[in-house]
Amino acid sequence: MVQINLGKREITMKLVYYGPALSGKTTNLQALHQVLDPSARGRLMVLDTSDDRTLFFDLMPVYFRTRSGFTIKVKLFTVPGQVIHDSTRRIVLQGADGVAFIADSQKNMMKENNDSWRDMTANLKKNALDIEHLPIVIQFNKRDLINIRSDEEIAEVAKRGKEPVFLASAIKGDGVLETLEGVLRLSWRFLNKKHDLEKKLDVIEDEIISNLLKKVSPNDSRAPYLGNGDRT
Amino acid sequence: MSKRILVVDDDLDIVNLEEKILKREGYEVVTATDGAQALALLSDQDFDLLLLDIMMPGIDGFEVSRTVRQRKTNTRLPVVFVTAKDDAASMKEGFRSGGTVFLSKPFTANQLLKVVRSMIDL
Amino acid sequence: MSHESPDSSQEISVLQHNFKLEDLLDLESFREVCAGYSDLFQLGLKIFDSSGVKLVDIKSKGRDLCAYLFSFPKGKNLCTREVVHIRDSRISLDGLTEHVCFTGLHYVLAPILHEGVMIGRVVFGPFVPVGYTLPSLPQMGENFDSQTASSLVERVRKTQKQVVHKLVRHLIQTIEVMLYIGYKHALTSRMHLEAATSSYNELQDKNIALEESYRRLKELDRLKSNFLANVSHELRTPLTSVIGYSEMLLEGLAGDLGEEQSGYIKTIMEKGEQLLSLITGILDYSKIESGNLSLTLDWTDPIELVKSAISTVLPMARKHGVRVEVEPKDEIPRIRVDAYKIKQILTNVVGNAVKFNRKDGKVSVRLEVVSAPVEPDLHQDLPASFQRLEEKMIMIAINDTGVGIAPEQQDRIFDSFYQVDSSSTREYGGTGLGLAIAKSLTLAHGGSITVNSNLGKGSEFIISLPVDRGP
Repeated sequence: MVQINLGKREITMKLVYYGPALSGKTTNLQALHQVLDPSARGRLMVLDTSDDRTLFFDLMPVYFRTRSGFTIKVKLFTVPGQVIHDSTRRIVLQGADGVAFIADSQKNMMKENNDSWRDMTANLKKNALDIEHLPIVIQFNKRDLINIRSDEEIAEVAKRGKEPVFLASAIKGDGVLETLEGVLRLSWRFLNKKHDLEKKLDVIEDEIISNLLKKVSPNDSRAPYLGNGDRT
Repeated sequence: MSKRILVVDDDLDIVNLEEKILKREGYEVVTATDGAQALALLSDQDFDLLLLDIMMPGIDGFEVSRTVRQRKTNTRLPVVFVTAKDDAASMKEGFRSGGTVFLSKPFTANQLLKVVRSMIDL
Repeated sequence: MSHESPDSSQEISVLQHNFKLEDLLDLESFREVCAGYSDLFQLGLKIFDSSGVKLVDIKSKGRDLCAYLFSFPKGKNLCTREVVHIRDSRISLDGLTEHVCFTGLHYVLAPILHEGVMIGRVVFGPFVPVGYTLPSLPQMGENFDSQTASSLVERVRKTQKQVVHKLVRHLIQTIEVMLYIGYKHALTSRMHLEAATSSYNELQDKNIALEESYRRLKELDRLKSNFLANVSHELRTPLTSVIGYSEMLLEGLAGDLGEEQSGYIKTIMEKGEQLLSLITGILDYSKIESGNLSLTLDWTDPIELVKSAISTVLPMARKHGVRVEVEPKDEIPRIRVDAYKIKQILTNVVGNAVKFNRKDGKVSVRLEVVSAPVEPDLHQDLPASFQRLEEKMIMIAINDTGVGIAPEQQDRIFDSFYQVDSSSTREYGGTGLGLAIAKSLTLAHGGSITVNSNLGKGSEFIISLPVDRGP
């Protein structure tokens, strides 16, 4: 849940990267860490064991100060994908303001995607989060691999769902900024509606987006934006 | 003088059956079909043996036996429970209420007579 | 279930926690680092957290002047105002802030940021920038000696502003690394704890749910036992009359019967008795299944038990023309068993041997004392090495010369309601529970029952019972 401290002029949001094991959640954060301007982001903290998979979770803050002097901080978390880390997953999901669901594009990973989605909705429920209204975007990652669901197929299924869908190859850095921008915009609009933040902070959505997603060097390889549901 | 036996059972067919078997052997048989009737007879008359069903409407066999044991006149009257309710808990309750022997239903004529003789002709 | 429902009183996770500077630093080692810096550059250093609590205060020689001025009431007032200013004033979050005190001494202030938010500030000084002329000190009071004051001013470090700025930036970087490590450490350890607590709570909830369903199952089981006891009671009461009156008729108490009539009555009586044994079997089996079976153990002569079982089946054996023999091989000791239950087992198995025999066949019962190896029981409170290697058992082998049992059916004959051929129920009668009950009862005695059979030649049932199964 967003933490708003008007006295200390701080806003802290929480976005969670959810998804099955090995779908590339950490890779997304690593790519963001590389591409974002160091003045707008903190260190990428990877809390894990010696294993190459995320057994614990990752955390990277991005932040900026508005012209009106407010610090807007967005903490990006990944959850551990492995089934056994359910309690960590639930704790990380606690109080999320938005979710980027990182799905694996490979055809043989559809069951894992489905299981993880169901696991997420169960954990949202346990955390008393409103599944109907919580901003969620979906990223189909690993577009660089073969034997994946085709662009056309994903475009087709994206039209049927209400969640915006992004294509990405996190390992190449493609589509990760767009995904973050997608979930960030949805979450900000949702919070703004609820708390009237833009008025209170004297800030507009585009100022936030352009400052939080300030890049080290321009990168124009944008992934196609495939669908926009009925969330506005 | 022949021995007097009181047969108590709410199933009239069983009362008749026991009566016939016992009368054939020369016992004098009085019958009752519920606990209240049995207790009334027991306070008026003397008996040598009580054949008692357990599951009866109103006053059940356990209570009849307990009441009999509390009366000073009937303290030594042997009580035989003739019942289909012969699980461990019922038997325990039966002995605690003052019963001497359990005879399981269904019984054969021989079994009934064997028990009766062992209680009366001691 | 409670763990499914969101818990509104849920504690806020460490991930939502706003850390203070002192939560993230090991203060002692942090002070050492600061002391090192201060010593190296001969500069005083103060560090405050975001609420103004002073965490570090390392004095340099330059502070001697402050101490002297502080000893005068006027100086005390002025100094205090300066301290409040460097502690509480708003400073730039993007760079360094300079502050010049009323004496003309310089300080440099810098924010300590964590995730873009200020959680403390560093104050370096005092120092005198090279080429800077100090204003003359104001008069402090009667005993104020400007000579002394001037000599104390000499002790204040003179240095380039740029050097101090560089130094502050370097210290801030060092602090940020320490914060990062501290933050990571705090998150890791507390998340471990939270995850463990959360798993524990979930297990607790599951345990409660399990206990509840166990309690309900037990209640259901109790109801089932009650139901069976009642049904059995309700069925046996009318059977009393069926069997009793049939018996009376057969004995001629209601007048003489023709041959056909007494044949019919006999059938009624036999079927009544069959019904009775069925009811008894079902009740027995349900008692064993629900674990309500209790054994009354007593030292008993097994040969007596065998003989008594044989005498029960003897009428049937005569009818089938089957001979039954007992052959104890050894000196057979007494065994501690529930005599009634063992007789039930033997009657059943010997009864089967008669029932499924050929006409003019033979049943022989052999008794032997054997030593059986004991499987180590790891669930006992004793180590396996303390347990006996073998135990003395009585083996009772029942051989028949009957139809035999096919190998694929030999395992299943001990299952409840199983008969080798469903038509055998009609042909031979029985509930199909006999061997299942026999098996449960032998197991309850710590024994076993097995079968060897050759189709067409006959079967051998072996019942093994420990001499004393213990408590």
